[in-house]
Amino acid sequence: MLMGGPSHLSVLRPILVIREVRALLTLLLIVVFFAFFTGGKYLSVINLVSILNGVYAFGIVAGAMTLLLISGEIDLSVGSVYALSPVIAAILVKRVPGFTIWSAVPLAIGIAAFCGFTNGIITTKGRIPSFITTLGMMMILRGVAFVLSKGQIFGFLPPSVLYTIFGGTVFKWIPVGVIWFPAIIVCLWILLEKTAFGNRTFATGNNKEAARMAGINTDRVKIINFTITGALAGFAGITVLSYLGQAAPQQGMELAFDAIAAAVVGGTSLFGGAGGVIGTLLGAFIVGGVKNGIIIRGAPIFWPEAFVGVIIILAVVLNVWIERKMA
Amino acid sequence: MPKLNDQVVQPSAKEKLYLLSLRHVLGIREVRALLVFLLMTAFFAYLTGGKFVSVSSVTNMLRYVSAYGVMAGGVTLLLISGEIDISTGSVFPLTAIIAALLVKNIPGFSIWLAAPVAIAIAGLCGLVNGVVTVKGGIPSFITTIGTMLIYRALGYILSGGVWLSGMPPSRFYTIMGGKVLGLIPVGIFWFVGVILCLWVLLEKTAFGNRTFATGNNKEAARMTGINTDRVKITNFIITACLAGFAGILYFSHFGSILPIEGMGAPLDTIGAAVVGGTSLFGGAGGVIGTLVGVFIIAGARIGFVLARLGGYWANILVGSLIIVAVIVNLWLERRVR
Repeated sequence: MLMGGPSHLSVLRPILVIREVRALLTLLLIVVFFAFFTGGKYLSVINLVSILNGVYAFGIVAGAMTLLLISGEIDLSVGSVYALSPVIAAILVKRVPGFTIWSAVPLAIGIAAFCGFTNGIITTKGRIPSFITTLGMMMILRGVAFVLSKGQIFGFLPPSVLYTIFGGTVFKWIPVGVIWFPAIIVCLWILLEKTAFGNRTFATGNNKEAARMAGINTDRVKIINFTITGALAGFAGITVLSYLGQAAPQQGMELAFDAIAAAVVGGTSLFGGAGGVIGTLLGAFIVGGVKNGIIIRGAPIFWPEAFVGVIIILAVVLNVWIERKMA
Repeated sequence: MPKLNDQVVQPSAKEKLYLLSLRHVLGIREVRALLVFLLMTAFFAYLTGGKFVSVSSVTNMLRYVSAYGVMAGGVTLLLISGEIDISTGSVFPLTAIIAALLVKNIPGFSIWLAAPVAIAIAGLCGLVNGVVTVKGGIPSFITTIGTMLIYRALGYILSGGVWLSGMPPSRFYTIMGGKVLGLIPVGIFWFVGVILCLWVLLEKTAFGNRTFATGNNKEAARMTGINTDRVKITNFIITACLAGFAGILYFSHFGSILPIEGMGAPLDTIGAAVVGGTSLFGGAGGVIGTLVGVFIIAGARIGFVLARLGGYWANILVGSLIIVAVIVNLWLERRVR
């Protein structure tokens, strides 16, 4: 295993082999890089809060996406679910008598979960690659969001404590989503690392046939992960609705890419069977940090997303290379 | 007809009956696609009270088909070789932007030179897609998601985010983007021409053979000596060049280009290929089916707008069509094997 290779690499090897360490190092590099190039503005309180603001929504989705990626599938429709869920909640509250936000939100998240469930059923029972299913669903659900909302943004919802719980602020500036995000990551961590289901998820992604032969119902594992992804995408949409006070059918167009980038930079393999949510948490900060840094430098629109594209490619190539060298 | 010792064997009566049977006919992917198209036309003609088959709606459809259809053809080849390209929608405006900027900023640079240069640059984008995918060992849809974002950003940066227009007049634009008989966009002839060339490339050349073999079973193809890497990279380049060509066609017709154009292209072109019967797993498909598929997608988009339902219903339909088409194609292929 340690055959060949230069000697200095073998000193670093035991450290670098841990994906969370790689992710942490990358994050530190990014912070140093941008802090240097913005003369410290990057590290100002206002900017850090701004980063946190941008990270928690796609971070929550990235956590769920990690589980799905580990089980060997992907979901490109999360951005559409993220937009559709608050739109449904807003329409229910405003247009349908008898619905308060307390009854609308569970229903909206339930529908989001159902969208994920549908993705799972079509992918596993129809035996189609998940990126096609979710590509189609992405179009369909985005269309539904626009049709239901007639393209308008919903705002001015009657006030409620629910919005404070999911979208209020702590210490005056920090959005409460910043607490929900790591909390959800911890729950996902427990699910992935400490339960039999997490075991089954890894097994399914690693080698589906072998997992089947060991008696694991791989279809069910995947469907559950799809459902979790849908539900959390809807939940993320609701937190943003709570914070901003409005639901827009066009929000979240880049959510899927940001979430995938976060997972991949955090060390989760696109081929399934390997990864972790702690890495994804760090990855989310990396992606959010890079996007923020680019915007601060005054780059025009679409630059941040271009860098997300570069990040995805680089991260996958690096991970593949590192895994080949370490194996 | 099967040949036996250079003698053409006539089909028996039973075989002739089968060839005429519904089962066989429906097994041909182009026929299935055509049926879907006819059904859809009937549906929309009814829904829009006949407006769907009016002259203006048909010309709109032809215009849409010309731009996206050329791209869909390239994507079909790439799908058959077993890869996918989501960045076509970004290469599409980028090429037009590059051509426009060359003409506007370099004195004496005519569009006749700028367009081929821009298309060559598009080919370079395809080369990047191909090399990163094949040599980096990354699934193509990840690479091209990344490059899609990057090329889109390049388009924005180069154009400064604004509408590029006001080009000095030239015969070039009439040839690429004018109208025949005052009505029919010339692009439709380019589209059909490109599809025919692709058909010849795919069905009648050794390269086409190698493309099918690579997509069908990469390892087996390798063992017969085919350089699968080169086949895939070539197809990536073709796809990107055609996306660039489509951008030039669009630009010639409308006289302007916005860096945000083409966002729906990857989904619509892949959708067209899939609805036209090309398999997402590689190894099976055809450009004639894609030709019909593009008309289906174009029809869906224009139909919903005409029916006053708004463009987003089209997304719902196209998304559903893709999923259904893939399931149906898979199911049919399994029954044959």
